[in-house]
Amino acid sequence: MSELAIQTDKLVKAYSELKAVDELSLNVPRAAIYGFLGRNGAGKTSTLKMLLGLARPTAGGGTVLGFPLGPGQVAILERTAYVSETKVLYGTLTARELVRFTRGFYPRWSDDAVAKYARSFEIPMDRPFAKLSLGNRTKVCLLLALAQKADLLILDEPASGLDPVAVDEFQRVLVEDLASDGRTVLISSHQLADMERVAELVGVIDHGKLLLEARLDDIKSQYRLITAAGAALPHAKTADMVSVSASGDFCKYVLRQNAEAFAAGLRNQGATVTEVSPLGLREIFLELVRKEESCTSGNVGAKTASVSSPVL
Amino acid sequence: MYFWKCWRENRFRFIACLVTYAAMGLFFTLIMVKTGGKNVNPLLWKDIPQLWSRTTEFVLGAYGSLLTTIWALALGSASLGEEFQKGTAEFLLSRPRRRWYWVWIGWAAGVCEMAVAAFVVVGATLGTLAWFSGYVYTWRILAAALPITIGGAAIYGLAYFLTVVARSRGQGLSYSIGIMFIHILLPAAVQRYWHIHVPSIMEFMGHASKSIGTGSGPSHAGAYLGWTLVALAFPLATQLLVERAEA
Repeated sequence: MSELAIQTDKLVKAYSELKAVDELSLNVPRAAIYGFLGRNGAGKTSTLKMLLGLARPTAGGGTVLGFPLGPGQVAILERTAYVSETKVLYGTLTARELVRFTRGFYPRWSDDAVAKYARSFEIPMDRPFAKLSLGNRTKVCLLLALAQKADLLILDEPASGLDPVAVDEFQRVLVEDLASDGRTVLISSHQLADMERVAELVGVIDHGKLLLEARLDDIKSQYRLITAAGAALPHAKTADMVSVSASGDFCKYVLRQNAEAFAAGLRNQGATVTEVSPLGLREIFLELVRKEESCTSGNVGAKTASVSSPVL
Repeated sequence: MYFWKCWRENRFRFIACLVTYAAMGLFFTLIMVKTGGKNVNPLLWKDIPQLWSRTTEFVLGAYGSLLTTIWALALGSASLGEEFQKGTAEFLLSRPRRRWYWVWIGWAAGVCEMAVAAFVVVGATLGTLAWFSGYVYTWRILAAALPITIGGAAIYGLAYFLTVVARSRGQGLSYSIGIMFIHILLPAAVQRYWHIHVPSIMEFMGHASKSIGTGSGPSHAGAYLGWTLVALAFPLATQLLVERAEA
């Protein structure tokens, strides 16, 4: 059995001319909480839909829990719980009726889990779904996903509409009930602070491309932001470099390792290194996806990656 | 499970439909019994078969067919296609079942409702007639529901399919009504100007109900088979569509 719960190989989803997902190669280990981060329209939801067979890949492929991607892949759906971004369920049905409807599809369904999470999330079980607040709708969707006892949970913006108490409870469930139970969780979100609390690994996607995939601990301990000023700063990416962006005589480099050696190399070239600082998830995310005027990005596949410049 | 969900979401409309069916069937049958039709005395034994024939022709052939058509269009446009419009298709299609399951179970739930409604209208009509005339043709009561169910299932299937195509209840219903108008008017025009008979679903429901009501029995087995195949063709086409659909 593969150690990866999700593996995609150059997955592409195109809508006419627009590439929503562009050669995405994702690696989500089993029994991990993986934060799938990106801005609105970055391609997160399209990716998740392809993983579940709700959308057909234009190119590329992959596996989920060892099963190949494809529409109506029942083997994947049997083992995967999904909370969609929209959180739309049947408006006339109460949460109790939605449980009744959903229960029969899953052999490992747990009524104990329903009772437990209904109590801890304080869900009004007998009110029609259409009459629930956004937060309570989200809670019902989470309840239905958690009670499936699935091997893999794919949660698209799972905390939308939740109040801080509910968010806290949800994060507790993720860490204590799911991760400790050996289940894999893929969470798509742009709530960076929340992700920093629960995720072990993160993948950052922008314009359909995966810009970064790393362990959060590695990011905190090894990743560094270097800001330098000088006339002939290198603009091309090296193997250690996550991104490079330039603005006037200033350049910002995000390095995954060997930051001190890189900074020393810049100084030897006559550049002034103004800052070498550790990065949090928020900082690295902003560095990767922020678009500024006159700023060039060194991300793989970006046009500016081919800017001719001196290499260290 | 999905069958239950379809029923649960639709039950109030369905019960309202049944009450309307029964009330209208009762009302029109009473009119027929009381007026007796031309040269028919409902109190005379010799006139009873004619009374049955005329009532069946009028109440089931005309009113029953029309009401079934309306109900079939409404029901078909409020089924699987609406899931795409409301956004619940994403939830539904991420449940572990093959996609044909959703199509055929959803369709079957509607057809069952059509069948129950057909039995109610036939039962109300012929039951009232039997009670007044004192004469019961049990097999006619049961058999008269068949063409209405088959015809209703075909019209329901049309709306079911077009709502999935349009992914919109309103558009699916509009397309279905448009096609039904063409389907009713075109055979009449072809018959009128070129004297060529083109089969029509309304004609099938009307004639079949009439022939059963008059005691001549189900005629044109080919028509029954043909319209049954038409009724089955729509969910099949829907399945092909949904198998390729993205939620």
